[in-house]
Amino acid sequence: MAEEILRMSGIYKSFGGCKALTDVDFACNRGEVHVLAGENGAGKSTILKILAGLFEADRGEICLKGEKVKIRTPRQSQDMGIAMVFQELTLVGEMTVEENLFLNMEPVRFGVVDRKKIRRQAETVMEQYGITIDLDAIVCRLTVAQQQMVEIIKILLHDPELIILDEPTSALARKEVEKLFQIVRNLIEKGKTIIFISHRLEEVFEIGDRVTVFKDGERVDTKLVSEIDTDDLIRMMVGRSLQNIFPPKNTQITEEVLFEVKELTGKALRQVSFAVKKGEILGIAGLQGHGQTELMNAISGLYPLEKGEIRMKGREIKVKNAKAALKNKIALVPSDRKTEGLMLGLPVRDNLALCSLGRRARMGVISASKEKAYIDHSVKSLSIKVFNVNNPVASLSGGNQQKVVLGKELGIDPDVILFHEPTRGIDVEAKNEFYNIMKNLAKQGTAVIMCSSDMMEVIGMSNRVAVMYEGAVTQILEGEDITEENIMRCAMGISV
Amino acid sequence: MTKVLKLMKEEKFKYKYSGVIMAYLFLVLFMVFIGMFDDSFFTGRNLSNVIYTAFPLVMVSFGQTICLLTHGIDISLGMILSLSNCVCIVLMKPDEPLGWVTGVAAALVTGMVCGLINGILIGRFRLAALIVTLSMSTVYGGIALYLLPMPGGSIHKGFAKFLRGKLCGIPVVFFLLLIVLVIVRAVLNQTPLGRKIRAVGGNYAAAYATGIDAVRTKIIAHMLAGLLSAVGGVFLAAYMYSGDPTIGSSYSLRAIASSIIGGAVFSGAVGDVLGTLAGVVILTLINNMLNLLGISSYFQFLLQGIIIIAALALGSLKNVNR
Repeated sequence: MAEEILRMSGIYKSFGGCKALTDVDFACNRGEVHVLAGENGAGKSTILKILAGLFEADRGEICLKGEKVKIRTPRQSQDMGIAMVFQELTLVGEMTVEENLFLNMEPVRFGVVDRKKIRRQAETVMEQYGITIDLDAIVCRLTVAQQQMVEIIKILLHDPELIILDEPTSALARKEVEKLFQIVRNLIEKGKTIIFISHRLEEVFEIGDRVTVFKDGERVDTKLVSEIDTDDLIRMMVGRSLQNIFPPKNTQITEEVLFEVKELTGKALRQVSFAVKKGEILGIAGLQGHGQTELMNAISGLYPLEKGEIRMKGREIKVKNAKAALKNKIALVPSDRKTEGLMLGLPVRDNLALCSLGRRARMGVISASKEKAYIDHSVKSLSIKVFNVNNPVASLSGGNQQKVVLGKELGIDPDVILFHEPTRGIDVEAKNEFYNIMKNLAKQGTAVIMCSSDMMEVIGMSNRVAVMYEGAVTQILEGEDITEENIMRCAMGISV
Repeated sequence: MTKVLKLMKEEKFKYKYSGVIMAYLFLVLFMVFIGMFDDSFFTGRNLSNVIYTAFPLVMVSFGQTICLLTHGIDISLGMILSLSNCVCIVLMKPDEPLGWVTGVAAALVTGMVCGLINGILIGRFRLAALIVTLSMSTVYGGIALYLLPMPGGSIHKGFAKFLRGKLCGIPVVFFLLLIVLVIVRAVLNQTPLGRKIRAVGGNYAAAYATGIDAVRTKIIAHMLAGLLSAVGGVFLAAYMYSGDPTIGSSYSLRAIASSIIGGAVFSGAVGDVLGTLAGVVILTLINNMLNLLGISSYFQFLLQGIIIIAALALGSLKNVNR
């Protein structure tokens, strides 16, 4: 007999102009493992953070155990019996497990911390739920999985009824996941309710009782895990219409390979290999955090590789650092233009000129005429809307800022250009202009690699798509195989 | 014995005490080294001298260690020492039997107020600790000069006699040092406040997320540092029978050096006043040795800087393995 422990109704939440949640209803039964699934940015984390008291919903109601409640602070949420384990761990690395467990709530005896009491309580909890951690271990020396265990023990000390785990398995290896699931089962046995975010399809079916799928800030559906299969789940998670902001794709693609990587291996990369042919745009897709950033950075010299080859037009090159990358004519438009792509306080012209200063300088002095010509050409060819190139680049809109980043990189006349989240935070018109620029670059013979978490963008722009999962390329999709469902499948590690 | 050895192999022990043990190891070797060249080193008289000389620096260094634990720093501690030194002298009534009470009380309060100001600027207004305390050191030093433009003043005779005196042949300040050491260590290691201090220093975001009032913790840390420096200042007033507004100028940097030698780190949460004590003694002995050899104090200043860098370099080598 399913007893409803939580019901959230009509939840709306926006951040600035961005609608994170729209009219979301969510209910959860006592004693179940309820998994939340959906793409990055679909709203799963947001709704749970509202439950944990970190955000307040703009509109909507929350009912806990049948009673209407208002959750304004994390403390209130805790007092109501809700506990959340975040992705960012809240532990102090330089202290021991024991010291961390009762931080800010230490039982005190005659002014001094009562260590015996702490140890007793901690050991009781660990025994109850089958967790084993050395209380005297220094936290920074523990593995991520163990640190997570410490966080879990920490919340269990409050004896919560509803436990929320935000992507607990994303940093864990298979064995560690099994251990975690065993503990989850122990928790359920003792009458707790668990809400769980996971990006791994197998996990939904392995541990979940019910699953709720979120998409674009809305709840798609809630189903009993026993009543659906993988295909149903994927279908719930994707399935949108393609907006027509993408230029038609290049069809004249030769077999000539411009750029190739072979067996790239590093801390987060596992033998990644692909080739980029002349005229095509290669897309890199997958859920965030599966090695895409490391891949982009490795090719640009920002990330150390353990093994692997990079070949430019057949010739092997070594990209040890950013300087070597630029020398080899590899350009990167990074994902966070404000911190990684631009000097916000400097004028537009300085930013544009930055990567290619040497080309217009003679004996250490920059040629003013050459630079002016270069700046004018950049602004014109990229249609950068700017009042005056001497204004600080921070005064430009997002789309134009991104164009400045691109202009800066184009200054080295690159053979390969990597885009990492190229149209993040840009309005539709600028997106369209950007896509056209990217297409033309590919057409003119520059190898274009585009890594994006926006699936529509990847499908709309790429001739071929390499989908990544856990640091490896699951599959490279071509032509008609490039669909949302196939990309999502590959993003979960399942080949099509 | 085997129990002790077993304890020493434990991860936690090594992490927390390796710096302290290395400092004491070095200290012992150093003392043996000096003893070989100087026959009079291990005499009661010389050792007492060392204690008298080291005491004020120990106080300031303990304060500095507390600030370092919060991932902060306080360069004004030397001037707080000077200021409380002057306040003590100025407000002391040398002729009345309990005339020292006003002086001492005022000095200690001064130390705490200075620490409070520093703490508010750093904790509440989030200004960079380095710049704030550097600037405030000139303020406190200036006030000290205003109160006592030239070294002088007179001290309560009985008070001075007590602090300079001995109990069973051992200087009184040695016992005072032990008491302070035990109390400070207890606060830092065994009270919730101590854990809060280290939490704020180790991971500010986590401390905040756990509900710790990080601002209040930092303010209290700086107040304690100010208080300890004031204790040093009061002692110096007794020891020198007078006040001196510039006496504390070299203390701040030496306090940092002592703390680092003793195993504390700039990034916070790691450090033990026991190690700091060893650091102070090492520095004091080096100073003594150089004085005996007739080397100018300017060179000693240079040497201090080199020692700080050496201690930092060794410290970061340790971190590479982590």
